[in-house]
Amino acid sequence: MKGVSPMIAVVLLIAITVLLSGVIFGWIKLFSFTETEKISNRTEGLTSCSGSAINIDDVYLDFGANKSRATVRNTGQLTERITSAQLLNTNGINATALGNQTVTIARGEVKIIEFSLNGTISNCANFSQVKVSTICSNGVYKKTPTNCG
Amino acid sequence: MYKGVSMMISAVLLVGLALTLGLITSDFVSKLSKERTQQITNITKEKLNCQFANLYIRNVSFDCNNNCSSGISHRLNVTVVNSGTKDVMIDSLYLRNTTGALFTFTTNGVIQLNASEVLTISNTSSSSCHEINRTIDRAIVSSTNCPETAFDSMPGSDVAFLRCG
Repeated sequence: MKGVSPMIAVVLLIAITVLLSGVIFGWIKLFSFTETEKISNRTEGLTSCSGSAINIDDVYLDFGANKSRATVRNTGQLTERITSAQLLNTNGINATALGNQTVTIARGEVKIIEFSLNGTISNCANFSQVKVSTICSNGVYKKTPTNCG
Repeated sequence: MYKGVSMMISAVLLVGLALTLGLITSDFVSKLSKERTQQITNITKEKLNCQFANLYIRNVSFDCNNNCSSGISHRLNVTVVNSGTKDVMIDSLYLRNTTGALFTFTTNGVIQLNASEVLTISNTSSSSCHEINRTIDRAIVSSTNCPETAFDSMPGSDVAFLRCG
């Protein structure tokens, strides 16, 4: 039976093998690189978070200015970035946070987060809680607001 | 029987492949675990050291310079005592008024307060003091290296107002 000559067959086979191994090697390299990067990032996130802490020291209700102000302090060992801040009334309705919520707060730094009281809290009894979250930690204030006696 | 690679060569190839893969994996795992262990060690060390850090505010005075308008120099003096056994760093003083508004007074660089040291930190500002004058609710000092333990706040009623009318 006639067919491709043995020489050509060998050359073809070698070429295909080299090509395939190149492709597979490239894929494995890319795959292992992205996976090791993922693992590194995740473990770094987990270990970094062990030094993270945030605290809401006080909350004030300023009915004159129709605003609430929460004093947030970074009590951890890392610079934090506040990712969300919520003030809830007793019906679970959110008060609108004023200004930029994604505040960066260094170690030991104290910052204020302001909320509008418009339509959510008309007196001290309406206040429920303030929640502040960063990537690693969160703080909750459930006491009576500081200036509500 | 089919022809192919001899038993010996295939065994050597398999063992070689397994060894190479094992070496690559163990190198990655070892490097990663070393890095992370170092990170955790540093954070834990800092936390443990901070157990012995403490500070308190001895007194606070605010000088309005007889005029609270913007452009006039107003001086804040805060005497802080390091009551712990670890040196602490301070870079800001805070005053919060009765409506919760916060006024930050950044010090001229980071101040190191050594263990047992008493230091009066001053800050002169030419911002308006109308919102602070006799309306301070809290004076706050927080260290930057041990904020959980080396932190204090003093009630506004204990703040001395000088030349504030």
